[in-house]
Amino acid sequence: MILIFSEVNDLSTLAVAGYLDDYGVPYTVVLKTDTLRYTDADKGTLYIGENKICLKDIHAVWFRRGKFFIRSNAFKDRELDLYLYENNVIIEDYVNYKLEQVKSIGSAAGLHVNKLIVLEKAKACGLTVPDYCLEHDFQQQDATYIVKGVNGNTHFNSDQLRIILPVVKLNDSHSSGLSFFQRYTEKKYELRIFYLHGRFWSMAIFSQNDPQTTTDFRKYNKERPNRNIPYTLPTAIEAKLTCLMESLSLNTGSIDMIVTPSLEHVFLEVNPVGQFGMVSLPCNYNLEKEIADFLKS
Amino acid sequence: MTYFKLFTNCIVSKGIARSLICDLQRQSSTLIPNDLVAIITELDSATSVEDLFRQYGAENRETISEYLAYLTENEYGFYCESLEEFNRFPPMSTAFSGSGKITNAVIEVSEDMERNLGTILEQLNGLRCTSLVLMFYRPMDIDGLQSVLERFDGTEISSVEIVTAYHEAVGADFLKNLNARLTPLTSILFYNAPFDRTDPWDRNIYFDVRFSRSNIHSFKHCGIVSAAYFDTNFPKVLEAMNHNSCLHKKIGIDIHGNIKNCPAMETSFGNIRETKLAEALEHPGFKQYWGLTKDDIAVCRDCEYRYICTDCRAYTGRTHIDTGGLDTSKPLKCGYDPYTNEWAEWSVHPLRQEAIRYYGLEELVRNNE
Repeated sequence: MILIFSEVNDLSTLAVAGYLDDYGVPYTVVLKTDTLRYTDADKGTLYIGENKICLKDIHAVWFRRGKFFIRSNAFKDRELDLYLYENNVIIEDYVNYKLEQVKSIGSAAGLHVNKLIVLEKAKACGLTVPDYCLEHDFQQQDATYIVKGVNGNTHFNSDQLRIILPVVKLNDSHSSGLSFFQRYTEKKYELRIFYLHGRFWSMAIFSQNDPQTTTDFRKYNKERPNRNIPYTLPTAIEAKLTCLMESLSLNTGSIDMIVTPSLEHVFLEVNPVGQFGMVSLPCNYNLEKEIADFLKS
Repeated sequence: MTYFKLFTNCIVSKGIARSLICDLQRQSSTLIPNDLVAIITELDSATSVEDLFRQYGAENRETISEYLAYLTENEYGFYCESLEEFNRFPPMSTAFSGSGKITNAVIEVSEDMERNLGTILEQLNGLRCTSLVLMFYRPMDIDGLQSVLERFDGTEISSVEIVTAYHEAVGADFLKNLNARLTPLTSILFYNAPFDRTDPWDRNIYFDVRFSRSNIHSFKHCGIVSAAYFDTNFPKVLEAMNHNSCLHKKIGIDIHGNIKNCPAMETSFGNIRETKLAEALEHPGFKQYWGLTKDDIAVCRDCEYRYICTDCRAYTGRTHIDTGGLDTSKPLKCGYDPYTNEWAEWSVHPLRQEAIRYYGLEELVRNNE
């Protein structure tokens, strides 16, 4: 049995499930709206609604979206609710720990990464990263820095600071809260890389040709979309990325990089639950089948 | 040294007299001369731009510069500064993949079959067929259409096209009623209409509505090859490069309930009354044409449009049979000549009259004149 934690109508999940159906391999998709329980019976039994699955029958887990969780009953009694919640957390952690013991894609723990830790580890693995700093009051008259939320959020709006999707080039003195400033990196093309258990599928995005998407390709140009084509990473870069993913205990993720006009590879960030459809489809990588094959084997 | 790379999602489809760049990302195709194809081939095999100019000599310098400018201005390709960079862009796989035993079905729905449509849809759903064409060779009132569409509740079928006869009651209220609940209906064609018109779906009516003056009372209308039907659709092009662009993963049920690859084909693999669709699909002959690509078909294999065109094996010129007994003749209803790049009316061609008679298409041909 393959267990897949996901969301309703997630296209990637549906595509992977289609291949599992072709193979005739049993799988269960757990949605965030499902009511989950766990008992010790029969060496551990999961209940997904009325559906019963023994832990020992699960041979692969895909943490596509979410993880094992127990929805707490609210008794409107603060003390009691807190007590039950604390109990549930221990059970949740235990079940997720057990689920991570089998072959898995993603993990219960690795849904979030700390940007600052990632950048530090990337440097330690030998990757080039843009200069960055954390500042309260960034008065430097330097147009070569871009500002991002340190938490990775791309939307923020207040009287003091406005971050417009997704980045703004800083061109005047800027008074902000504690913000993350990253030196703007000139690029020849951007890379979106899907990583799965030591393997890489990369896509080059030629966003530099289009002034509308020069700073970040997510500002789509629908008339003449940026070119997206398959790309092969130099083996030395793959080795450094593998080092990074291993040091972050990530078995999968979406990695963003930049190739500079002098063809240097610069690491930007990793998203542990990144979309792979946007790399798979344009490059015809058929990652949905790769994932189904991985889960099946 | 400078190198030039064609963006690997732009595929050159080489024809005998001219060629096509199929831009799979932007889903459009452009005709190019075969001289340019020769240059692209040279550049793609890692000949540097400098060497190319040298090879072609001073007299061709200007032409090559123009070609390169054309390719860069239209974003068909880009310059690489070194062989190392050039080699980092591998060719895109042209494999076609997708799950499901069947992806599309065509049913000629007789009145008898209409009553049992539920069991047919259940079987199609089991095969994970997602799109369906229903042909009704009769007018359908609103209750009839609604009851047909209700049968799709609980299935994964996501796209339904309906072909039915026009009648007086078809109007704005009719369509509004049809739109009253969410169904997988994506398009409806009313033939025998007093006018020709297409109303694309919008916020009020969630499906395309087409009116046609033509009269459709059998599947004989199908199989026409025309530039109007060319489609540079990413997965469809990949499918055409690897499989038959019409018949792959298709199942048809004709008006008599016979299960076929396409309702217009001759060979039946059982009748819906006694045979399950899944059983018919397992018949050794059912998929015989699934792997036949345009590269295997006479004339088509020389045509620049072969990967953006739809094939037809139901109506062919009946001129070629391969060693395995498969009909590899050009589709009968194609009037394009890839050797001269000219279009002509297919039905008046003297060499096609025998095939027209064979399929009993004389009446259809007369009506179109």
